[in-house]
Amino acid sequence: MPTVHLVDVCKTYHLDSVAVPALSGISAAIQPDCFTVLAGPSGSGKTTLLNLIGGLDRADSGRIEIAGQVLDALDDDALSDFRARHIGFVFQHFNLLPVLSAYENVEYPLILAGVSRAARRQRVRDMLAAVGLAERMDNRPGQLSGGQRQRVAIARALVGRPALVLADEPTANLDSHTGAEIIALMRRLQREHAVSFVFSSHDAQVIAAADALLPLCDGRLQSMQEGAA
Amino acid sequence: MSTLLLALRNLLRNRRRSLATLLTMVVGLTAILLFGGYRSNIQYGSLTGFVQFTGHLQVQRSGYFEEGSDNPAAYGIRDYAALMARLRQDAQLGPLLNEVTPALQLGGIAGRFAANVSRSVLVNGVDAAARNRMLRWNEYGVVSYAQPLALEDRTADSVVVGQGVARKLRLCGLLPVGMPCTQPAADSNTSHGGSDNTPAELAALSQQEAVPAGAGAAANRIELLAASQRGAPNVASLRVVKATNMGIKALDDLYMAMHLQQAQALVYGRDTPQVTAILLQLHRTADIDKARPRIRTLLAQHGGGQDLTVLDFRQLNPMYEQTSQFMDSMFGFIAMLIGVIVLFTLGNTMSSAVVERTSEIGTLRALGLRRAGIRRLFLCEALLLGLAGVVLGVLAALAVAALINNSGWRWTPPGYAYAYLILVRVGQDLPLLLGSVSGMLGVTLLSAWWPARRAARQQIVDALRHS
Ligand SMILES: Nc1ncnc2c1ncn2[C@@H]1O[C@H](COP(=O)(O)OP(=O)(O)O)[C@@H](O)[C@H]1O
Ligand SMILES: [Mg+2]
Repeated sequence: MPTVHLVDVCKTYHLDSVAVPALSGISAAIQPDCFTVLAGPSGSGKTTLLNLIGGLDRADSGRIEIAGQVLDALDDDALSDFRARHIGFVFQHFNLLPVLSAYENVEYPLILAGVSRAARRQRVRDMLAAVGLAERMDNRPGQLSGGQRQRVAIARALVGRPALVLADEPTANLDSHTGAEIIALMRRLQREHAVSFVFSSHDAQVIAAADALLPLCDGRLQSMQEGAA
Repeated sequence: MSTLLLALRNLLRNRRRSLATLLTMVVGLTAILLFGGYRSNIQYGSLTGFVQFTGHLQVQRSGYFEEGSDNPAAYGIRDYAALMARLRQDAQLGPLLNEVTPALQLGGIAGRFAANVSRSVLVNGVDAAARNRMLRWNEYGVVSYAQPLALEDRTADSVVVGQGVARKLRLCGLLPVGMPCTQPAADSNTSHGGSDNTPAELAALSQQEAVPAGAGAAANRIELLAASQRGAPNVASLRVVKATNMGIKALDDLYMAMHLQQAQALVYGRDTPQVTAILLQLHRTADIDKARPRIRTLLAQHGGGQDLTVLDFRQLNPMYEQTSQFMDSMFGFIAMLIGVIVLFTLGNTMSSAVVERTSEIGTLRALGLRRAGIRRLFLCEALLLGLAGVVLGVLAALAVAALINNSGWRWTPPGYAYAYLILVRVGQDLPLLLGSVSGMLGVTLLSAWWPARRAARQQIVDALRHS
């Protein structure tokens, strides 16, 4: 069973009476334990598609199934709980909570998922160690570099052991060296945690690292290609 | 717990704004509590004064209060002693009672031939010992201005008058030093009673309060003219032993107290004496509603067919209700004004917080926090501010109240003849404290409600785009 199954998904934005079609007729399957890249130029609909897959927005039509659950069937609260349990997010702007330390940021999804304090402690420490930030866990995001912040964000996305991690241009705000490190880290963690990663990027570096490629252009999927494994 | 932590950290993040909002709440609550404490002091103070003076409840003949205050003959209560005994001994009513005492009120004209002056007065025939016990009642622990009635253990012809009456009768020696008083013009010219009006003797009178009938006592003799039950004029020769400040000026200018027997002799002569009221003072004001129906029942059973009615101190002293209502409406107005100010200040603070943190709201929602969680976060933030404001506000109010209460400031309320201490009852007034505190917290939640709701209702993708 694929982790993500999309059937004829459409999404149109409405700007004052002008209809902006962002996605039309997207059908695709994303396999478990895969590093999948959503490639395409700016404005091609990558963010829109990731938002739909992540249950942050609703499609106009079509069917989105994640880990066997049809998202459309869930109300807002159930969808929130579903995100908490099954989906991790990595954002372009890192989106850490500025008032929480690195440790607390990583701990937060576990609190939402109702994990006990003792279990949280172990998992958060392990996760921060895995992203190489064991020494910085008491620092607030403001005291961390961009690369370090994104590592915290990756730890936060993975700590709840989701089925799927979605990353929308996670390296767009990093220099190419740091970006490469982040990609390598995600690739490694994706293998270690046996989780599906879906990324959006128009960065050749990232595309080269992918198991599967979904090329998007003007809101349509070009064709399914297998990347170099 | 994570909500609380997040809320607290977010408040500390924008310290200046949080402090400004907090200050508004603290100042607002302090103002409400101080004015409320001032109102409370006036209300409990005047309640205590009235209850000390008139009791909680009075049994009177129907219509007496409206029509007959100066016509005791028509509104006398027969067999009052037996009736009082019934009230006292009743198993239900008895334990509630602090004092039961009769009173006879009549109008008369007091004259001082030595000074060629006369003055109409309202005479209260009282049991002085019982009245003095009533004056010691102080359920609410207020500063009591009651001075004991100087009739206790005095001769049968002794009377006490208001200072206004003393001034009108030119009993200057009985007035406090420095109070304006016209010396009797007649003194130097015509000498009615021999040599008893020399200035030296008058001066001595100011210290003669405790001196029994003696050298200068004749100077304080007055005659009282009153109508007897049968309509004939009756005159009594009386001795003024003290001029007392009655607080309310209108009363001060009319008041005269004498022994009940003396008053009864004036009105009823050799007939069976009656009274115009039976005063009942309870231990606790709250028992009025329990006591009144029981008294009614007892009156119906043992009143001997007389048409008797029971009035409470509010009915007997309309001024109490008027003052009370005035203070209540002032308090309500001030509280509402401050409530609105806090509502808008805090509402504005919370709205700004929501706008500033839009992308964080999106992040929290993406991580799986429900709408209700977002709402709770902002309500919690407002509530924390509110709690801090309430705690600091109460402390500030208690501190300022202590300062005011120790300052010794005084003022004379309109219509009063006495300068009262300015006091605020904040700490002792639990309803005021609880009401203001819960009101403030209510306003806090109300002002955060709309911003919190708006935050929770945002579309996640729109919120995330704010980064
Ligand atoms: N909220 C929105 N309102 C209107 N149009 C939007 C909105 N978000 C995206 N679009 C449009 O939808 C298309 C796809 O955008 P997006 O998914 O952000 O592409 P990408 O992430 O690949 O740059 C673009 O034409 C963009 O202008
Ligand atoms: Mg995008």
